[in-house]
This record gives sequence, C-alpha cells and structure tokens, in this order.
Amino acid sequence: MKTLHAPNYTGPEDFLAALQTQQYIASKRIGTAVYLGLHLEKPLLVEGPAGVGKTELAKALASLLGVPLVRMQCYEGLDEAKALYEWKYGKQLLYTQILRDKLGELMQGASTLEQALERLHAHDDLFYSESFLEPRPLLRALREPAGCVLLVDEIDKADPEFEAFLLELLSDYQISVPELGTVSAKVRPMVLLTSNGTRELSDALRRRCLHLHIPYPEAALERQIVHTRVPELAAHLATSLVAFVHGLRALDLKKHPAVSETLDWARTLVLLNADELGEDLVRDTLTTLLKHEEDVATALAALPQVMQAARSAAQVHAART
Amino acid sequence: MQRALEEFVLALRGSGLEPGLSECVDAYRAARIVGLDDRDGLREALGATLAKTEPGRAIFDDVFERYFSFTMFDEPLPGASESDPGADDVAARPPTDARTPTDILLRMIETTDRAGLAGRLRAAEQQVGITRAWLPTQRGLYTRRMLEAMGGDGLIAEEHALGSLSSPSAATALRISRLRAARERLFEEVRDHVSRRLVLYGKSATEKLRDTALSTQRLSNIERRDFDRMLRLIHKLARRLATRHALRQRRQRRGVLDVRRTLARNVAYGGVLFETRWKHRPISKPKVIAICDVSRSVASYARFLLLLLYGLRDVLPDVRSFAFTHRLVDVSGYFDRDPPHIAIERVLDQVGGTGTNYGTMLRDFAQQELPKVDRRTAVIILGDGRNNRAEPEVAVMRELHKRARRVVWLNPEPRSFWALGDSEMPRYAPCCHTVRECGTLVQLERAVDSLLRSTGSNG
Repeated sequence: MKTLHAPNYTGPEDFLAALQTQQYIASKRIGTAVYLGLHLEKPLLVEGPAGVGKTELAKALASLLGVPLVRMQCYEGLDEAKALYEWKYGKQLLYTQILRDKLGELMQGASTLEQALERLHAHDDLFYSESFLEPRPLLRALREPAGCVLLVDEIDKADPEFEAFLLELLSDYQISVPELGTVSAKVRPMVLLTSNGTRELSDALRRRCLHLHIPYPEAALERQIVHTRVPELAAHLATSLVAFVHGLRALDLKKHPAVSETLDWARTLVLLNADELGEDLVRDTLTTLLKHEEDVATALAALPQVMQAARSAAQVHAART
Repeated sequence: MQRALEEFVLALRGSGLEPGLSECVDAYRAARIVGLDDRDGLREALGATLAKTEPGRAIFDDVFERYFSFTMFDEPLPGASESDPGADDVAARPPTDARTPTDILLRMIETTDRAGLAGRLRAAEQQVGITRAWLPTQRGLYTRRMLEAMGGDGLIAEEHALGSLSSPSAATALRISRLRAARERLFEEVRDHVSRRLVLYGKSATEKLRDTALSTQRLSNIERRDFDRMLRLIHKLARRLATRHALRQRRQRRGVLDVRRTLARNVAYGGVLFETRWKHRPISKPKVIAICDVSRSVASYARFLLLLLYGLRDVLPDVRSFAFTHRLVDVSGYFDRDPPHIAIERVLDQVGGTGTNYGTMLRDFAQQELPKVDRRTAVIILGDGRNNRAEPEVAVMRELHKRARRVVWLNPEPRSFWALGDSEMPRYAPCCHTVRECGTLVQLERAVDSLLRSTGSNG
C-alpha cells in the first residue's frame, strides 16, 4: 500500500499557508491537526457546530493535494450495501439469460452430470467479477489509483452498527468482499470524518482518529475568512458585520449563526450595495443569519445592544488601521 | 522525550483522561513530527492525538499548562547577587574552579542556573520514581528523597561540619550563611515541585480507587456527594453496553438474495429472471417498558435506578419509563426534557412517598399499558417487591408474563431477604423470565447486559 503523495511541507505553518491558497483560512489548531493526519496517516475526526467549515476543509484539502474527493453522506439506515459495494444482480441475471445458448454449447458433449459441473466450475467466477461489481463510495475510495480524500460526512447520523463496521476500514484501509477476496487500498486515502454531535460516537472510533474540534472562529480569523471569500465587501463593513455576528453568538439562541451564514450575509450585503450596517438593513436581512422564528424575535429584541457593540468594534478597528 | 511523554500521559490519567497505548504512540510520533521547539505546535499535536472529545480537550489544555511549565527558581536568590560579594565572585569564576559536587550545586542555586537545576531535578525524579507517588502524606518522604538525589545532603553535611568548628573565621561564617540560604531555598523549591507533581499523578490512583469502591458498594450506601461520580460511571456503563449491543445488531442485519421468491416472482417472464427479491431479516426494535419503584423503602436505590433508566435511553431506542409508589406515573417526558439531575429529583418529588402498593400499580398497568404489550415488548421492573401486605395482584403479572417477550425483575435487596417480611418476591418471581439481584453497580451492569442480549436477539 502506497501512501498518499503529499508535497513536502516544512511544518504546520507551511501547510497552513498552502491551505490558504485554496481559499481556506484556518486556525493553527486546524492546520496542525490536518498536517499530522497526513503524516501519521490517521483518519481525522472533525467535530464542531454546523456550518463552521468541516466539509469545506475536506474540499480544500482534496484540491490542495490534487486528488479527487470521495464523499459519503451518512444517514440513518445506511448499510454496507450502500456504503461499500453491491453486485449488479439485474445485470448478472440478464447475462445468464442472454448467454443461455452459449451455456448450452458449453455443456454439449458432457455425458455425465459431474462432467457438466466440472465445466461450469471453470467459469464460475465469471459472474462475480469486477464487471458485475457496483462500487459504492468506500470501495471507490480504496480503488482510486492516485489516492483520494475520503469524507465521511455526519457520521453521527449513521447507526452505531455502521460506525462499528467503519472501524475495520479505518484501521487497515482494507475490506473483504467474500467473492473477490480482500481489497486493500492502492493508495492510502486521507480520511476525514465529520460529526455534529447529535449522537455520542463510540470510544473505539475516537481512539482510531485524530481529533479536531472546530469552534466558531475568533473575530480576526472570521474577518479574514470574509475577506478571502467575499473580497467585494468593504473592509469596514466586514468588521462591523463580523462583530455583529459575534454579538448574536453571545445571545441565547436555538441555532447560532455559523461561518457559512456570515458569508451568506456578506454576499447579501454586497448584492444590496450596502455601505453601512444600518438598523433597517439588519432588520430586513436578519433571516439570512437566523433560521428560526424564535431566534429572530430574540435577536430583534436585543438588536440595539448588539448593534452598539458592532459599531464600537468597527470604530476601534478603524482607529487601529 | 519518550520519558517526558510517558509522565505527561500519567498526569493526564490523573485528571480523568484515558489515552490508550496506540494513542500514546501516535502522540510520540506527532511530537517528533512537529518538534519540541514550538510550544503551541506541540500542544496542538499532543491535543489532537491524546484528547478525543471536546471536554477532554479542555482537561488536556489544563494539564498541558501545568505539566510543561517549569516555574522553579523563577526569581534569583533574594539579595544574593547584590549584597553578597561572594556570589559575584562565584559567578565570575570559571566553571572549572568548582571543585566539590557541593560547590557545583551551591553555585547552580546561587546563580539560579535553571537549565542545570532542571536537569538535576529530572534525574532525581527518575531516580526516586516520583510517578508512583499518590498520597498527599508522601510529600515529605519524596521531598527528602529528591533532595538526597540532587545532592542536597552535601550542603547540609558541609554546613554541619563548618558549624562545629570552634572558632569560625569570617570567611567560614559567610560560607555557612550561603550554604544555609541555598539549602533552604532548594528545600522549598523541591517541596513545591513535589506537591505539584502529587497533584498531577496522585489523582489517577485515588480516582480509580474510588471508582472501584463505588461500583462494588451497595447502592444504598452511596452518599449524595458521590452522585456526580455515579452519574459518570453509569453513563460509561450505558455507553459500553451500547457499543456491545450495536455490534450484536450488526451481525444480524445483512440481507441476501431470496432465490425462492425471486424464481416465483419471475415465472411471469417465462423464467427470465428480471426482478430480484431479497431476504429481509426484520431488525427487532424491542419496545421496553421500565417500571421503577420510587417509594421510601427503596428511596436510597431509587435515585440510581432512575439514573439507570435515564442511561438506558441511550442504549435502547424505545424506552418508556414509569415510576410508582402506589399509582403508575409515566415519567418518560421528564427524561426527555431535563438533564438527569433535575429529572430524577422531579420524579422523586412528585411520585415518591410512603405506602408502596404493587397491587394498585399493577391494576393501573393492566388498565393503561397491558393491552399494548406484545411479543416485542420487554418489561423491566425495578423494585424490592415489598407490598405492605396489600393484595399483590399476581394475576396481572401472570398475564404480563404470557404476553410480553420478557419480564425482568431487578431487586436491589440481597437474595436472602426476598422471602422475609412483606416481600412478595416469592409470588412475583415465577411470573418473571428473569429475576436478578442488583444492589451494586457491577451487578447492575451484568443484569442490563444480559437484558440487552435477550432483547437484541431476533425473536
């Protein structure tokens, strides 16, 4: 088994800089964890609230390494047949029917049952060969010739049984297909698992992975993210926008606005040609940030304070630059 | 480095993290990759490999700060460098001039040579095996041993020797005061260091001791202040059971081609097999009804039994929980809404009381729930079966036994008490598939494990 070819980075910082070229702005914690994942050849378990860029990380990593991203979205009831492989039963049956005459030919001249069986045995693997195999994401990831980034998204949504099954794959990067034998990875894929914490993952899984928790980013980092992803947005507007979002995260909400929502909002502001974060504008566009009716009500009630905080943060920032 | 990491892992264990061997190996490799120069980098590397949950990470950061800080000999010896001319002398002297080992140590202390002292300290730690220290009372012992290993004895010996001279010269007096200052300082620093280490290493041993004690102690003897610890143990237990249980279910899952039904289906196409039919093994999703006695007679157990009910919800998908003193009350709602502390107190507050009556409870059950009990239902009853000599309604139990897949009775009392006094266990027991004693956490785990084994299997 070969290892995934990764360019030689001199260290986590270097790697972090490389990630930035993929428009992914990450903290040092993220950079170090992924860097280690690559070098220790360990799967990386990424946890954190929804929308902080867990899936984005996998995408950025794949494009940075220049390998395909194989994504497996988990859901309740996901099983091996959908995750690993399946036989194309329809095709198998169809072929046996179409090849019936051919089979008849083959059998000609066989005087006894044993002889006929003997002849059949010579061909019995035919219908359980590669051409009848339907690879699903996990098998696809193992057979990628140049390696890949395998993203097992929202593993917490899958059943515990599936998680147990995944352990086999994660420790040896190989799986057995009874009819074909053991399939081991051509190139060891870089595995990223993400979880939103709807269910506690098993200790066994955690043990096998490196662990990375991505929290909501700090203001400076988030400003940088907004700047990279939505460069059209004016700097002062980005500052007050990020400060406002941070103010919202301090409130007691059902679902806090994540980075993806900040970016959505930034794009909205660009579309609306806004040049200042006015209260009316916020009122009108708040639904881009908050997705629950109750949250919007809570935020509107606390709007003056949050706005004030955002304004002063923007002033401080302006004074500094 | 390996040694430092090993000790660091010990310190982590002391704080409640439990990194396994493979994780330690990973941590070692990770530390080699990022190097030791960059403290932040090292923290991130070790954190990613050793702490696997978010709360665990917080503990890790705390221990990292404490372990990898060397706060000893932070300040120079008070007054030494300014007022004591000897100190300047010593510092100015070339190192080869230090003749005796005592001189070397003396100079290290006086010039606050942190690197040199740290080296000695590490060596001494290894020599005395400080990681084995775990009781606060061992502080004095380890401090003395450490001092000895660092060469502190030489300071004392020389001080004594010089002090016993009959007519000390001025130089000797100066030397004595220097020796004393150095000795006192070294003693204080080493003692503080040992205390810090005791906090790091000591906890793990004591914690483990308390955990084992708790899991074998009778639940009724466990005090309220241990509630949090119990909660954690029970949670752990529930998760362990969940993992075992998940593996068992997995084995029963996969469907294969159903040849018989496929052939039958495709007769319509003249035997050309177009449509496939699959064998489906129905996954049994057991319904569980748990009934918990919360009356005064089992009050000390009730808290833990309820805790177990709470924990069970993680393991079994469909648990309905009831509590009773004499009337049956559905408490599933409490468990869904509130964290365990609050939910349990609320249940005890509203349902608990005196005058246990299994008879009325069973009558309620017969009215409300019995019709819904079928071959997929498992019923768990937690209680001592002490009925205050009221009508036991054994008929309901018999009916339940007939309808349900399993009836399990978990009794917190020792088996020998079951037939004594007002206990109806001898009459209820024949109506149950399993009757178990579960007075301690260990017994509880066995009981629940066997319960899962039977509810998880296909019926």
